[in-house]
Amino acid sequence: MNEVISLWVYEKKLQYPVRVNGPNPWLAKMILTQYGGPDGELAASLRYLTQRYTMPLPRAKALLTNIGTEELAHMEIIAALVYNLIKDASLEEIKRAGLDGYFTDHDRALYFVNASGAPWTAAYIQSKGDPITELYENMAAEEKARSTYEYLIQLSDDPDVTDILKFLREREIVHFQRFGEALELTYDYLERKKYFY
Amino acid sequence: MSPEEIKAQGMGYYRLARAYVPWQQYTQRWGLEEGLKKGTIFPELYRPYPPKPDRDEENV
Amino acid sequence: MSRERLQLLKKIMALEFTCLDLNLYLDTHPEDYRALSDFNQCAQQLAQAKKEYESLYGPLLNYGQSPSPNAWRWVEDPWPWETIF
Repeated sequence: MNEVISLWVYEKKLQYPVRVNGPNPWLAKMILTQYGGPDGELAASLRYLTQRYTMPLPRAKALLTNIGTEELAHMEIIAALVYNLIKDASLEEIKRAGLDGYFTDHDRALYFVNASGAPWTAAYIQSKGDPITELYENMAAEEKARSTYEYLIQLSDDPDVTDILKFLREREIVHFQRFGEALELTYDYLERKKYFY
Repeated sequence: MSPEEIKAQGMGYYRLARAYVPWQQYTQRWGLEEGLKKGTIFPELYRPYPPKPDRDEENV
Repeated sequence: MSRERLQLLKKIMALEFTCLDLNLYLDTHPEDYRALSDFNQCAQQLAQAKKEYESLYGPLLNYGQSPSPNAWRWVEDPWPWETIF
């Protein structure tokens, strides 16, 4: 019996280089929202990957697969940021950052919560079935992510971290454009289906 | 139908109750390092934050 | 990580990123043959850079997508979140 592996291949490198200027658990706590929060990379990735199965257009399936996968790469960047901002922090710094509750449950490990500590939930995403609806959901998601990165950029007091946040923010703008194009393609497709079937 | 084709049909062909995103047409791209730094290889998709003032706005 | 290794990794990141942005563009513009030719050029350079990196520092991909000729190097440090740039 042949075993067919159809899943993700892991590449042992980051999409963008990560560097931090020293321990900063307060900043880590804020950035963690892009790991396990409503507009973060896990939500983005799972949303796009789960929508693929019922999209009618091959181009949309390809796009959702590619962007969904890129979001996993972004999740890895966020994880690297948080990991490096917390790993050398003293317990005093962790307490001052309001991460003592988090530390109690997770030590310095990464967990899927938002900036206030609320756990990730599937309620953050939608997979509605209607291909037009999916694409508007995705465009909104990209805008929410962009806004979140802008708020984080405003908060960040580490220029190296800011540089990475700016990279991630620009990706959301590009994704919005792609989903907008997929929207056009899908409207076209449904229009043609109306007249020729 | 692309917005350009719609416009060519004459004003008012845009449908109500739906969104249109203009179609990107690739003409030029940044080099490898600059593309990575900026977060896209396409200059027309680059929107820096905080936003940089327009040349026109500066002259006002 | 040595300077040479970081340098090579940064080159791969830059090449892969151009390929990725072209990849997403091609998903909605599959008939753009200029973009396609750029993508293929980029992909070729990327494959070369990866081959060079892997011959020196071990596999970048798992599940048989990268060779591991003399030893099982996949288990080696550093992992991406531990790499200091």
